[in-house]
Amino acid sequence: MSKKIVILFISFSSIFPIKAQKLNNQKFFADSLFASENYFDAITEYKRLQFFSKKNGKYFESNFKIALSYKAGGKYDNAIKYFNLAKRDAKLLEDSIQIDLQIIRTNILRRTIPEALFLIEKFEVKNVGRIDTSLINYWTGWAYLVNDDWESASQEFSKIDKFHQLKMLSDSVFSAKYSVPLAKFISSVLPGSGQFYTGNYWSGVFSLAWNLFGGYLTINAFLTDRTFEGILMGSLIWARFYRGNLTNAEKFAIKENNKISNNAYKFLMEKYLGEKP
Amino acid sequence: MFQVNNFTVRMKKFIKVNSSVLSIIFSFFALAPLIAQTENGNIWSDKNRLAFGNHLFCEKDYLRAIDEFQCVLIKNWNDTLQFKIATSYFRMKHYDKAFNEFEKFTPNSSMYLQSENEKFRTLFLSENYSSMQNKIKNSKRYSGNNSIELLRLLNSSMLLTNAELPQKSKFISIYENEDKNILSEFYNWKENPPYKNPTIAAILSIIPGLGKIYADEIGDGITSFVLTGLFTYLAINKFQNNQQTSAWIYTGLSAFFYSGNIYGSYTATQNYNAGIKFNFENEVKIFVNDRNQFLPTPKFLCD
Amino acid sequence: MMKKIILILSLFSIYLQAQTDWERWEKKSANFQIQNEENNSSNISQNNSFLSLLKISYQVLISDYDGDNCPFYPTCSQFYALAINETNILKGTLMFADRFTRDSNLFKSKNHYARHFSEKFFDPIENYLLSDSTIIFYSREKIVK
Repeated sequence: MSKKIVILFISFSSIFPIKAQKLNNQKFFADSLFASENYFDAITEYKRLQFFSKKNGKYFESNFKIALSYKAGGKYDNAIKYFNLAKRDAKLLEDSIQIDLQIIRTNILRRTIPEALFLIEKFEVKNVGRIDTSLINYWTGWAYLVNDDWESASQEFSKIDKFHQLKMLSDSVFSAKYSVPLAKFISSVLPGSGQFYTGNYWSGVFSLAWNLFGGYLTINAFLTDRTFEGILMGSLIWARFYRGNLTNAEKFAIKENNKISNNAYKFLMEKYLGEKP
Repeated sequence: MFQVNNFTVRMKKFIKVNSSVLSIIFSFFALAPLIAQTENGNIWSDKNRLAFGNHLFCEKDYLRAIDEFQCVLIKNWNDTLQFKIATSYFRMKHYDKAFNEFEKFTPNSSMYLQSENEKFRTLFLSENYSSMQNKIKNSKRYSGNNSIELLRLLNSSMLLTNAELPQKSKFISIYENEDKNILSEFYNWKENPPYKNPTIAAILSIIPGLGKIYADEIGDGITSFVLTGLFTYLAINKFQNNQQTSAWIYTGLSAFFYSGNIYGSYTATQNYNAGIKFNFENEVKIFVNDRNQFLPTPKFLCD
Repeated sequence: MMKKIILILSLFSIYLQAQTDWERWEKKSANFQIQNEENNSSNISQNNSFLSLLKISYQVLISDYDGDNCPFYPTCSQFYALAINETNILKGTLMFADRFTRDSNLFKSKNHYARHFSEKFFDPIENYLLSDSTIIFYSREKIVK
């Protein structure tokens, strides 16, 4: 009789380890795809893992990995959806903190900066005393930085360290930038001067020349009592180039500013070694 | 009742006689589920791949579902599965691939009729109207004249091609009563499209801008009139004041805008016609899509 | 009521999210850079050296300084160059005269042109070649790329 029970026990208990074993293999497979940056297939295999471990309810890790895969593939909406699903199943406090941070970082990457800032604020209130405030400053700084708001970014990073690498970078970018309203204003007073201010000398010279020419034609026509031609010259030539001068002053200032920002972004993307969103 | 009792009595006897043999038999039965489990428990078995594929299909994760289905299908052909693969492509709007997958059904297949319908639907949605018309006409159901759905789809698609329409009463008769009015309107439009004549526009634009106004471009017409008039006035004025150089410049500009006005009136009318044709065809497409191409739709588990 | 709306919205979002996986994708490293929306001038192979000189000088001397006046895509000068390239100098000039008139029209109602993704009116030369077969009517509801 005891023999029978032993056999019965062995045969029944062996069912479960095998299934768990298979799922472990599947998890290993999915993880290896994830590790080799084969994210699309990794998602498939994590989904398969979820499908066959339905009753276990262990979705936290696989959902988290799916979210990270989507994030790595630049599919930020999906990433956030799966981070939220993972958060639902997270049992440990650390895990949900980790996920909250990931959602914030994904929002920064998605350039939904207002949402990122809102979530950071919520996160800070929720975890008072539990986390290092420098963490909050760091990601707030990054949110501003991606939003091309270098002044605010500098303020945030300086809260961590007055000589923080990103603070220095933000300061240098901010001080190198041109003022767009100034460029437009000086160009409205003296056509071409805004272009000179942003270093586009040839454009400035041509703009000035066209405006002088258009102005001469118009004023000359009025002075010689050719009112009708004066209106024509004024509207078709002078006004056209004066407007062009203003838009160019603005355009160049924005363009140069973007160049400055993009240089900094290039550095962040290629050479910066700290943590990135 | 008697038989059962009899059976249990005999079993009890058997147990008493040979318990060691029994233990072996019992252990075999106990192990049987284990063996089955290794079959079932294999995540990559056909059955499980199919189950996972169906799950993905219901989640609208069609590209991944196709992968699963195809792995199962390679080993043994299955109509439903093939249909699901084709439908996955169809729902992802990959109409070319969907058509090729629906094409794989042979007339012997149990789902041939459905696949044929889906082929027509695919061709309609990918705007391959002429090839859809040919396919319908070559279909056995069409020659048998027993499929009113096919006839309706064929007729409606003819509004979108240059095919010659049948007689009006015949054209409308196959539709439901509620659709007859709108199809009658469509038919009339197709027979006598309210196009405007570009040549008339060009002639009208002898008076600058009038051709543009005819082509429904009133703003352009007024602009054209003002520009041509302005430069003509200036030219005349200069000639009167004996300022030859500027007079000729203004004459040139005047001629430039005047000839542009005639040319533009012609093209504006052509574009007007293209516009009303586009709107008409759009209405037809919306109508046919609302009726789901008149074809019955297949139902799936998760729909 | 609110529940219903949320349910519908969530269903919709699931549908959209499923769509992202309807094409295979690869790893993509994050790009923080500001994309310049400046569109490069069209590459037209010019056989006629006089015309190309004319076009280049127009661009260098005038169009760079008169601001972004043209509400169309392609711009007026590009339109002229493309038109001459496609037809001949006479027809191209007629097409340009018409385009210039339409450009001067201050009451351009938006329904008269399709929208280009650069937020300009989409107005390709193919619609003005006098041939019905080259005309393509673009839906006013969609944005042309």
